[in-house]
Amino acid sequence: MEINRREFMKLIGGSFAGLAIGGAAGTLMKIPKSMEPVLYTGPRKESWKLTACANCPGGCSLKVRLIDEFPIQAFGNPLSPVNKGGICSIGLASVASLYHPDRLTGPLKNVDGKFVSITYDEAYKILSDKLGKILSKNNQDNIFIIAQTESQLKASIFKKFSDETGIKNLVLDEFHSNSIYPYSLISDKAPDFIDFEKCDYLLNFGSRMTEISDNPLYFTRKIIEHRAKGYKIGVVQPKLNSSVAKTDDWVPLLPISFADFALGIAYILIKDEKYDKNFVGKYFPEFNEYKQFVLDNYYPEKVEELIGVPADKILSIGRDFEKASAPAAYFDESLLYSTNGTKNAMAIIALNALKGFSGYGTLKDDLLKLESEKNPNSKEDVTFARFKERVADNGSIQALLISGSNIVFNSPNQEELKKQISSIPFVASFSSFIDETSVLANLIIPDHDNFERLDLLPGESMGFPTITVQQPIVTPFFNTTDTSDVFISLMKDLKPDVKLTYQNYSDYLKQIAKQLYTNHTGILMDQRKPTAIENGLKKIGWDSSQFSGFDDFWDGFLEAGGWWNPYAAKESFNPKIEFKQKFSKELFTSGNATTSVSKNKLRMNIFRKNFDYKGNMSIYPVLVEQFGSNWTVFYELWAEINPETAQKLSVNDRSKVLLRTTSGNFPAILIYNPSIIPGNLDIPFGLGHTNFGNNCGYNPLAYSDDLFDRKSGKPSFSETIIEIVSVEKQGESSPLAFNNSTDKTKVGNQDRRTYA
Amino acid sequence: MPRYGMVIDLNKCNQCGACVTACKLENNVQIVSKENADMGRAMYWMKMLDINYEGSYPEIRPTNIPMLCQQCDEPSCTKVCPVRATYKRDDGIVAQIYPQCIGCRYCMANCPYTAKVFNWLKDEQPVENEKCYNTDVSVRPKGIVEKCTFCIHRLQKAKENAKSEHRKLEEDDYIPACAEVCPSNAIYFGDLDDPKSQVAKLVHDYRKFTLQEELGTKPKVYYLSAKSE
Ligand code: SF4
Ligand code: SF4
Repeated sequence: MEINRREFMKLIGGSFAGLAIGGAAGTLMKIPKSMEPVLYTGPRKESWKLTACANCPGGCSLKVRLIDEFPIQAFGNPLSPVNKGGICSIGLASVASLYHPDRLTGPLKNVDGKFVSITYDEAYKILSDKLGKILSKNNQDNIFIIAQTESQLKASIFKKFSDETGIKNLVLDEFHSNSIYPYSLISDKAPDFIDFEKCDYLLNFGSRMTEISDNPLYFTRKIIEHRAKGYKIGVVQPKLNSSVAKTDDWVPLLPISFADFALGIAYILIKDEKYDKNFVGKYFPEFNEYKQFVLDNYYPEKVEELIGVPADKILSIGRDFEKASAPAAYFDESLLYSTNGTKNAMAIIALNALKGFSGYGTLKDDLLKLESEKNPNSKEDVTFARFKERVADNGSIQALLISGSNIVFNSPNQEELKKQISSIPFVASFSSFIDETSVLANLIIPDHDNFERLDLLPGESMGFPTITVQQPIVTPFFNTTDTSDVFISLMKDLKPDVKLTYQNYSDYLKQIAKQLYTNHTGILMDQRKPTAIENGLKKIGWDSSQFSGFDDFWDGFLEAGGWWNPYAAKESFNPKIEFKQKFSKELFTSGNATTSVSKNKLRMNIFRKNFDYKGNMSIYPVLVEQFGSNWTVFYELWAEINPETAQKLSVNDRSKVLLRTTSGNFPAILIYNPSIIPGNLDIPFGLGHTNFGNNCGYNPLAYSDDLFDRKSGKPSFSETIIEIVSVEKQGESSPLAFNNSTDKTKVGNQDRRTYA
Repeated sequence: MPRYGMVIDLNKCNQCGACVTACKLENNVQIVSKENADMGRAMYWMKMLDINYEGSYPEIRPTNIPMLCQQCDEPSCTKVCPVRATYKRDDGIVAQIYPQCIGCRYCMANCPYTAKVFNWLKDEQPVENEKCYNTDVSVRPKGIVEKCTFCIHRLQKAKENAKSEHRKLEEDDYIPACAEVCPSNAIYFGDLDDPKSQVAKLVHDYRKFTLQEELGTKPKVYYLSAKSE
């Protein structure tokens, strides 16, 4: 039986009754938009699923809360040895990206400056035809691939693709590989981990260990434990950030001078004859030249003169380092962001060699055999420096493929770079959003969101291997494609002779996981660490965690969210150090940080906070709001200055200032901070997007000089000279023409994208 | 009856801000626009107090304090509310009854810790955040006062779970979001009157202090800090 509204009204006794029960007699109550999510009608069934966070190199395991199958919150997985239930602000905020209104819903093609939707098949055909044409003319050297990923396995697919197609110009921006890259220049191997069981002195050069690093949550816990054991930590860092907050010695120093400082420490060890003679005799063939070079050039007073660190500070840190039985001088990718980046790393590696790398360790067995490692020729190091050279040479690049990287936002000299990229005949992007880089593309095949993707994130930084599973918490909302699958398809189509043992990326991941299954080592992340006795029993064949087959293991692996081997065999790290170059000053230093800046000129030190990783913050509203909140600065750029420097320049705390570099002017709020290196202006990186998420504030890198580390190609964050050109006076009705003098063209403050 | 309290070890906290983010998301606390933030209307139940420093450059260290409602045993806010919209529960939690609040803000004015915030606006969040609302927590309308509740909804849920499993509430069953996520394990939470609980032990630590002790509000949020830090 059907009852229409009129009949229904009769049944309930006319309009009076209707009104009495809530006024539905006339029209239906209109629900305000803002109340919709609250009044949402599902049964509100709660469930939890595990996945991994891929928003920084850490690879934490996330416990995601779903209501009616939709993820709403992420927490740390307490059973993961990586983050043990902890989680950072980015991980907490990460669910929101799934629902971001600017997410791309399918492939787009740029037609006369406007993006129009196309099908995946159309997009794929355009891409493979284009590449096929270039390859058929043997012009593979004219194709570049820039890929930023935190997945070593995804990286291995890019490498495989590069090997098989002969496109050698693969710029892989992956934190872990970047961190160990300097070792590849002077050593035969890189350490896997700091051995915190032995390490009794840690000297950190520029790593934001507890914020964004190889394993921030693990390092957070280890630093607390290390200090509780009574061991010291020294940090050489241009800013007193939260990675420095809980350490004993802070050496405020700009990265350009790190090598000088490391060599100054080496001088103390050599002079006191407190270095490991056995190790250097065996593994450091050029030690005598190095020793002479250090003794001639790096006595403490000389270093003080060079870089301004007091000689007695160098002496005391040198003595701490030499006294320790297992010190570790640590660095990671962050070190590379200076014109002296790779050279700094070499000086730090040499310093470790003086103590036989005793604070480090390495795993005896390789965790996994990755696809790319089967081909030893794939080692060629192509860095962003090569791309910069080639892209500047107009017309030399015919195609550029960009995955996961917003290089425009992350580079200085952005206007020039944009022009250069725009002049490349074919640019394909795999970004999930229109951002400052993908806006320049001819074609976009958007990747899945992190919560829609399957991947495995291996780690070795804890002294035992871990693999955290990133898995789809929801089926993809839109017509997006895993970029690894696009590259696997391209490999099959462009090089039909290549025999791949997998059909798609998930097949590949399963093959990798099979290695764990067949090795019969380790345990799933759903249990506590087994006792030594349990482990002993396991070694002689007692295995309580029997799986009926690989499929059973795979299911368990996904359900547990990961695997680890708490008892993996370790060994000490004994690399061979070979500089392959005659010792000279140039080997290590290229500049001098104490170059005094003339009156009114300051050094711009761009710093990163733990809310942003390589420009990804702006799509997370909660992070953008919180970004400057501990200075009570919201949605605006600020610049921190030492009060003494500020007073010399007669600028007040919290005044609005206009800053000038050779690239243009931009406004900021000046904040007095007594921990800032005198003469510095410390400015945060993360705001100032023009095409991606919240576009408040300014990007200081856009106003930075185009200086970079020659080897790695990473831009310098701290070598630009900056001036305060005007100050808005308190209470003045017309401030010093701020809006007019802000050079917005420099950052291309255009409207957000338009696409049909 | 338990008496819930919190201990924050400042010697462990490295000011990462995860507790602040977690609180904001767990409790559907509004994200405000720049214009409103500039008018002092940013809303944080848990916030990092403006950075302060100890020592002088270069021997200098930040002394940050994650700050939330101090859940006073002698709250000064509850006494001034004309409509009893804020009160202290038997378990010590100082609670707000949102529908009863008339928005006079007397309680805000009388809170020496500036722990309370006012909803100046009707809730209009970025859509990506609305989709992630915590369905266990109400969204407060314009014109009322709110603050940290020690994630009281988690207590409710924990009690229901324990009941359905025919057991008593255990120490780890109920923990606020900030304490759950802290990567440094710097935030401890539990029953101050249970001598076996970690918080009950920690409040006897020599490093212990409470904020503005002299006011006699008897906060149940304790901080630990050794001078050398
Ligand atoms: S530390 Fe890195 S991996 Fe861990 S939750 Fe934060 S962003 Fe994610
Ligand atoms: S989450 Fe923990 S370490 Fe981070 S700011 Fe809060 S209390 Fe401190």
